Amino acid sequence: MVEITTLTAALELLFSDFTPWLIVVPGILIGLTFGAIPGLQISMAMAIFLPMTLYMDFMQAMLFLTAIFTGGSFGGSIPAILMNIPGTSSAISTTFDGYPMARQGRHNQALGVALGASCLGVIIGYTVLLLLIGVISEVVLKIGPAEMSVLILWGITLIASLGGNNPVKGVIAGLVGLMLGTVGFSEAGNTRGTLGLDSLLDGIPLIPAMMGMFAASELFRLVNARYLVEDDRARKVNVGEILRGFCSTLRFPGVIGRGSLIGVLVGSIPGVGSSIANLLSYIETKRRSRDPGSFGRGNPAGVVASEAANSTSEAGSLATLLALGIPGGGATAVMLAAFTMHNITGGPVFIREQADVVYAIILANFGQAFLLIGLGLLFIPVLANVVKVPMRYLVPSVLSLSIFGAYGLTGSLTGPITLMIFSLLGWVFKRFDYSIPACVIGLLLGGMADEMMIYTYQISGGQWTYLLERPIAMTFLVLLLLSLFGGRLLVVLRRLAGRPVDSRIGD
Amino acid sequence: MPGPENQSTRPDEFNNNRIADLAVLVSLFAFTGWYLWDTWRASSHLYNLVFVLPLTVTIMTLCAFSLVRELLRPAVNRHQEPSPPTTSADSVADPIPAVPAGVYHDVSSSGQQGPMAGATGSLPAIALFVGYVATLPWLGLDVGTFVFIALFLKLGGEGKWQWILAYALAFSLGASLFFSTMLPYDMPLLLIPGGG
Repeated sequence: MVEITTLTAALELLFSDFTPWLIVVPGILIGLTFGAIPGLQISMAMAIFLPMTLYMDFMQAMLFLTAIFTGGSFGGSIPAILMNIPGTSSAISTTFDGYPMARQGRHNQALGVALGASCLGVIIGYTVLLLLIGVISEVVLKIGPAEMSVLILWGITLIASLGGNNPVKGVIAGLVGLMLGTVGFSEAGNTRGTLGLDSLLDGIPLIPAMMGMFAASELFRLVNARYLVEDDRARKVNVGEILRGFCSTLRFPGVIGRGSLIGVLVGSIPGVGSSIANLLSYIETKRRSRDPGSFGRGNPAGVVASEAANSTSEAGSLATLLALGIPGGGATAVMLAAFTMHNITGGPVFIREQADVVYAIILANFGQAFLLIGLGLLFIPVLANVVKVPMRYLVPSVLSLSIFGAYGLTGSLTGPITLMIFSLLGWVFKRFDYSIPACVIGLLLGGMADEMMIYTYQISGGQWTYLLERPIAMTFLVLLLLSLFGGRLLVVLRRLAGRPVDSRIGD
Repeated sequence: MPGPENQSTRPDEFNNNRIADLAVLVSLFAFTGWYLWDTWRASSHLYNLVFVLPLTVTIMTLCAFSLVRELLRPAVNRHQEPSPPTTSADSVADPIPAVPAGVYHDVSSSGQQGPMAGATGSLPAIALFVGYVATLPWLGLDVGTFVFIALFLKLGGEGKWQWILAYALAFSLGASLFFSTMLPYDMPLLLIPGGG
């Protein structure tokens, strides 16, 4: 738990001098800009600006890098909402409802909701981190392939719920995605489906494929439209609407709480955290909704669920970095580099001996969340003007920008070629009613699922009873089963007990 | 790029749709079969197949099931069937009943159209995009982007040539300079210095 003396020391460290805060504002703006440009990554921004931290002390460096991280995790929602481009895998589920809201002329509300959920998510996530950093680090150490397999299985169940008009085609799309996710050099040491191309040895580049499936395929469909929002009256950028959207986030305390908890806990798992957290939060919110059919058609709760989880997964991955010295993804890997540049090694010793610094980093993120509110509210009205751009200009500009971004992600023409191929695949899938989100989620999880299944098989020696010996895996499994069948079980139990059944339960 | 608007699906168009739909299923079946064969050829060891084998067999079974179901379904009955309501997360293409009338409009996705309707409107854009990516090794990202944007604007109905050229030049130059400055590696650029 929190020690008051250490907390006081941390506050002194933060507020005895205002200079560390001077670099937070540019950090958030850099993150917002990189997050908002399709193809530019938060980790790329942090890597580009990492050398600058050499001239800062450790505290300033961490404030600067976490500010980029905080700004970027919200910035990624902007292209997801306005252009259907999930710039990172942690923004996939933001597109599900954010983009339909934008097309309905509710872009102001969607952006406001995303900002509100991101800021609240950061605050809740870091509060949990402040209270439970020790516990989280202990749990993370106990997570192995079996636990990861169950978590991935949980993510895969989302495929079934995104089946669409034709559930069989939806499942086919998801499974094809899973299969494509296994292309390349496998954990077993074999190459599959590479067609002899060296560029596919590492697998299909995920982000260009995602951009192609979601954005380019959608843009091809919109070439005949005049504007993203057809109604002239709905095309306004309205700060009042953005603010109302921001405040309306408070109407979803359950969604935010659940999303934040999923974000911080799942986000702390190295490698998969932020990618899966937003999907799990979305699927759980949809499953528990009174009106699950409204999801995917512009339900703000979908945006809240996704954004709350992806911004709190930042706190989770920082917990793993601080407590164990293990980076959870690209962005925390750059932070680890900053640790090394300042001769600091994360881990239990660091937490014990420099607890004031750890608390100061966590507390600084609360300040960043409030700064993000102000900067985000200034930034959104400028970017929301995208809806006023005629489609004949927007479509080629976004397609070109995606090509530049895809090149930037891979450093070769593999990125643009992948984007092109997957945009064609996405266009065909969309025309013939195959679920694109299901396919993309499959693509995201396929490689990991294959890898974890092999590890689990190797460790267990083929004995599936091994799962019974893993309490955390069993907990995840029970939670998964409850999320799938809990509602129906409750209905059966209530009927057996002769009590009235709430129509919502069992949805 | 004019596209058909609010057309009802004609019988010949319906047959084309059905053939295209079946062709997609056959392609997925064939690709999955090839992938399984390629994986098996790489190694038939359990570790290599533990995930891929059940996955590919399931996909092929589902494709076969869908193919048979489509083939057995009488064409005339299916033609008369109303479209089922949409609930998928990627169903933005379909009309959204909850949206006020006039707010949401998509030429290529009218509820009365078959899946191929509107496809012809997208094809020039797709061809242009494929050409753009295919010529990048020769034209580079700077010239390639300029040509792509200029042609796209012309196809999109922009009438003023000077505006087309000015926008294409500004965008391609701006994006090329921005990304070549930000990225730590060379980019394929034809005219702008610093390209790889």
